[in-house]
Amino acid sequence: MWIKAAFLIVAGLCAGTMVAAGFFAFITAIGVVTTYAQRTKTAGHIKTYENTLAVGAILGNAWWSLGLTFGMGGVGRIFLLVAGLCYGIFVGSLIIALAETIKTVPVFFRRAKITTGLPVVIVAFALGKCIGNLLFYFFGMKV
Amino acid sequence: MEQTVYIKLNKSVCLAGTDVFISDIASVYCVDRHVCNRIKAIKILKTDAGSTSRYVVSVLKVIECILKEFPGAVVESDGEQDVVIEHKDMKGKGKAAEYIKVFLICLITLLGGGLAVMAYNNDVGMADMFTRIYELVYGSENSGSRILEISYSIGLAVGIIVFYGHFGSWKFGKDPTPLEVEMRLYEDDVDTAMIKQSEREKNEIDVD
Repeated sequence: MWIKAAFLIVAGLCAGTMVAAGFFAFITAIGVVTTYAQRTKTAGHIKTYENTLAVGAILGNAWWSLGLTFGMGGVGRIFLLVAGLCYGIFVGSLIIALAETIKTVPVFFRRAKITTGLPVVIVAFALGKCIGNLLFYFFGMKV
Repeated sequence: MEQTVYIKLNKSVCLAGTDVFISDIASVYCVDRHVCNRIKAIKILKTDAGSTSRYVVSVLKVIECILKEFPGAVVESDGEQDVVIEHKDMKGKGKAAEYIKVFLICLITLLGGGLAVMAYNNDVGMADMFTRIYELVYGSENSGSRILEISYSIGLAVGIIVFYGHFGSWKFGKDPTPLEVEMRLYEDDVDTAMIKQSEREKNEIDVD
């Protein structure tokens, strides 16, 4: 029996390492955190952001895979509020960064021969995502 | 008396003061050290004090300023053709605003990184995968073992730390971390884009 357990340990370790490498290469390449640092003019703190990102991923993963539950009571609500806001900001920037990486907007602009109105397009982009999100959660479009 | 002056323009600089001197935006070499120092002290432009603003200065403008001071000099430019000057007012907002921003970004990256990895696990159906692997290994339904989950979590931590090459202040190797590399690339792109844009909008500080 112990050899099976040993196999599982090795498999889990390797799987985790590879997933982390692939997944974080993705997040780094997509440039969400670098964009945050640039926008807030805090590029000097990039290492701190790296640490928090790493710690967040490690804790989040451990939390998810081990299925730990904390009885947080009233604090839980505040946590959910803050977490939901942060999740939204992060995912919002992630999807835009993804679209930016594969150069959707510039290609569209070039194809349609538009030269102005980029700010409007960006706001429309954000509004569309927001409406889609609301439809998804509050108007029964969840599958 | 003919002097050859070599200048190397930087790509971008960030300055606290309002007066921009040549020594701030370029390195200068000249055989005559006296001339060299005088060139370094030439003022290129005066930035607006209150706001944080950006200026793009062409190398030709720098050469013009030098030639105005030393009409006989020969200027050799070895470096960037344009420099982005960013004026950052250090006074006023101070450190508190910066720490708040850093804290907020830390919070977003902390929770966001956690969510991203959970979303990934969910997306690829990692829980089902684990159940299946337990079945394959034990030949039957898993009876409450947590080995795979624990080792996976540890493995993920190891992977992240190895990938980023450091953890906290402890670090292996002298290489810049992936995010630092990405940051520099991004800043380079931003500078290039700004230079192009100000060329197009014709608000670059140039000779003509």
